[in-house]
Amino acid sequence: MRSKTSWYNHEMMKQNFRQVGWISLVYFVSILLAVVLNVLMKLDVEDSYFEIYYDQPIFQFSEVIQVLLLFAAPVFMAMFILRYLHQKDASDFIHSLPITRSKLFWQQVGFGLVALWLPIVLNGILLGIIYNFLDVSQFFTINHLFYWLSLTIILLSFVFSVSIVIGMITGISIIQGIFTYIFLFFPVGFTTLVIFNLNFGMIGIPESYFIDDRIAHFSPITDLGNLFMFDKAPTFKLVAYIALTVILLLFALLLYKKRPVEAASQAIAFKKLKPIFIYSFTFCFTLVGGFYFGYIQQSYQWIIIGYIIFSLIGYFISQVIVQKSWRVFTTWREYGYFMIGFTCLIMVILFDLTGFESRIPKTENIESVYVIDDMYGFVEREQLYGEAQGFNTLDDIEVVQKLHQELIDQAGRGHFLLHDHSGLTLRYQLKNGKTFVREYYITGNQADYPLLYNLMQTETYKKYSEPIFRIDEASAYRISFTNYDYKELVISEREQVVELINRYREDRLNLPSQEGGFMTDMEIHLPNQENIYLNLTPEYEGVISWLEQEGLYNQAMITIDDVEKVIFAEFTEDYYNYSDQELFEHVLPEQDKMTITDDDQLEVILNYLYEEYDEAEYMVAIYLKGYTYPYVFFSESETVPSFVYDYFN
Amino acid sequence: MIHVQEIGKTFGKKQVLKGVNLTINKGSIYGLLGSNGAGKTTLLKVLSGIFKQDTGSINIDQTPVFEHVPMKQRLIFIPDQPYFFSHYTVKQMAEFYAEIYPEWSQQRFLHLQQILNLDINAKVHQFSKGMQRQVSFWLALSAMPDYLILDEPFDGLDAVVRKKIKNLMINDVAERAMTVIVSSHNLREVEDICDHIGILHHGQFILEKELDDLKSDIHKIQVAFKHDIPETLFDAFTVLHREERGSVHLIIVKGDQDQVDQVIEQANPLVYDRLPLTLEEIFVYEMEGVGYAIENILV
Repeated sequence: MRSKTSWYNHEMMKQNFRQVGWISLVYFVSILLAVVLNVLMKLDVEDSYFEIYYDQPIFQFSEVIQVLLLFAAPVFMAMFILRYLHQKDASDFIHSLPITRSKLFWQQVGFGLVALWLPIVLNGILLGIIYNFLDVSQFFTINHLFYWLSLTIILLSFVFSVSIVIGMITGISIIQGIFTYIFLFFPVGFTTLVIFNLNFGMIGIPESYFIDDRIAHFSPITDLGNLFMFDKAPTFKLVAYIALTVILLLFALLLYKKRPVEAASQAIAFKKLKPIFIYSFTFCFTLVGGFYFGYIQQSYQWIIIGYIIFSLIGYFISQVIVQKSWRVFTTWREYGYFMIGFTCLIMVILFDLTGFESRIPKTENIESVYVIDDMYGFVEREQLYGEAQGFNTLDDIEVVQKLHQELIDQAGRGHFLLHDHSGLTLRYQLKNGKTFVREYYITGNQADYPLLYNLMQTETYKKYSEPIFRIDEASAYRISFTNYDYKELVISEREQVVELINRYREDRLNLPSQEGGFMTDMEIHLPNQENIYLNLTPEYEGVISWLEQEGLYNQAMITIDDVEKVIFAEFTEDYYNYSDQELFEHVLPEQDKMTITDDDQLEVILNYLYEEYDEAEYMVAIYLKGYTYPYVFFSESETVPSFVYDYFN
Repeated sequence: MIHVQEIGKTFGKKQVLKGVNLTINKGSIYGLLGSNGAGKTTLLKVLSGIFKQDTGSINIDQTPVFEHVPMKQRLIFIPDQPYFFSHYTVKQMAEFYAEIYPEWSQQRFLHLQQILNLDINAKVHQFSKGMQRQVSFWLALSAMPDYLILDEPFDGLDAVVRKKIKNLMINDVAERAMTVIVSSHNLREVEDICDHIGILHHGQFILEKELDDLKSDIHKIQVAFKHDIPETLFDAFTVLHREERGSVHLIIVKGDQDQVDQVIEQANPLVYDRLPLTLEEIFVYEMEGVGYAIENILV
């Protein structure tokens, strides 16, 4: 006689196999065709061009299919393996059997996991065999294979366990499927919504600081790109996924033990969760309304209207789901509570009862502070070169605080929605080790903010915001000068490179914050780092004099000897309709153009003209000798030489 | 022995069981009666350890049933719609039961096949409703349970099948002292097999009786007197029902038979008849006595 106390039921496994075996089979065959066969096919094509985009090349084979299956297979598996919980008759039957819930749970979950792992493991073995007998070195290495195998298994298990938890919470399989995806995406979506909506209310909230980079890591769906990178997926992330999987499964077991059997075919299995679901669903929808109308209409009234419309929709949908009926128009009590709560929340935020908006750290608490006009670049620089020194003298800190107050005073709700805004972040490092960050949106020119402008001219600011000060000059191995593909000068002698970098730094400290120069670019080449691109204009006296002294000036810079002519014209919309050459030679009438060939005038143009995109008033076409196509850029009336201005006015 | 104390169960806002008490002796067949929605199925599912009661306790042989494997191995619940795994044959279902229930008797299974004469290699889902019901009994009885809980087992079955199933059940009760709880909304369906009857109404028992007691306890009397009927004649008994047809009084009384005879004889009636009552009549009058109209409770 068979042992009756075995840890699993052979017959239950048979039944599971009949129920979900097809999922494993479909998954196995799909991966077999999409990956294993694909490798063989690529091998067969002589001199096939195969570029490794990721450091993890096995994901490249039929990537779309792999990703789809990675998220579809475990959800289907979870839906079918817990199907017995969602059918009334099956649920009654299974729970009338002499098997405890824990045993049922581990049997089902264990079977589901193994059924998900097997197709991948088998395909992995096949790939291993291919690896051993054929030369696939151009496609992947054995490490890649193991990483592919483990990452796929980890993600499958994670998605599966999320779906198992959802399956315990709901009594309807289709809801289990849909809500699995909602929950997988939830951390990213919800954070985005909250941050976006808070932007209306909490002036100064540092959006980019929260969202950029970080938020994508919150969900495996948005983080997939990172995870596929063999080198970039940190081990702790994988360990975190494994830990989360275990925690989720234990949580699911706990839910199962508490779950009433009669919840089969009910949208939400636990009575206590119903109001929570209704309120949070309505809340999310309300935020979506704010997001949508804020984005489209960018006005306050519309956002409020968006809140009202979408809260109604969200409330309606949540009630329909919970009650499983369209006729839910009689229950408005919870909506009333919600609106009261939401209004209170808005009040707390709008009237700034927490003091969020008006808070400026006290001088004695501040260690240092950064004024940052490109947060993205700042974070990138910090990652590349480590921390730089911010403003830490008493005087500077006071100026920043004054600027902060000014920004608070002029800030308006919805400024962040304007298209021509630019972000300005203030990041205080406090003495207690904490960071205090605020972000504001300024419109117009930085020169309109004298305090800001002055801060930006300081040595401290330049040193932390310009990469040139951050690199190790001794490791730079080459500097190249390029201009419009016309000339190129490369300097690679170590001493000269260091000298040039130091001279450039000196010049930078003497010059105002960087403006759009033109014609000549400097590129500093660094080992294992991204190259640095710099502008070079005649104002960089130290660099220029060094070039002259070394007799390299003519090789590095465009001089009047290189220029055939320059044509000025007032900006017209025709610019967008014609090619540059056509525009200047055929479209523009003679009387609207000013052609300059005089050396003195050319000298002035080359030395003092700046590129200006924002308010283009003039178009400048520079014809270099030997080139038929002009180099065109824009300038505004304040920066064009006086003889040009006089000509047109 | 099944011992149920003060069981309460609520679904959503609806309280389905309101403090149910019940004791069922080993080897008896208990008929659970009640109209649709009275709470019969819920009570049975609680008894079977499928649902967990909100309040109160259930003990079968001094053991709570819920999540208790050894107890559940001795108990089988057959729902009103028997459940089988899809595409399973009788044989496959039998293998499943054989593994799950330790007392499974293959010999019994084969023996019952001869009686029922059903193909064990046919898919259960292709069977008719009556055949499926027989399969569920077949499987259940082969598992040799000590407790068999049946929800509306005869509903919609023809007389032949009904008879067959009843015989199988009674056989086990007689041979192994199996305890059976059977629910129905129709008294006539179960009156011939049950020794105990309970009527559930809106989640509460309104009546619980041993059938033998019932029959010897209630009497339909036709009596006529020359003059008016003595006022104090029935003071010693409970009168469940009373009507007059001319000078003839039709009275349903509760009480000891001999005592009733004696009291009435003493009053010197012109006519005195004691008539037999059908079980249904007994219920009609009993329930009138507690303030219910039976048509509203049982079909």
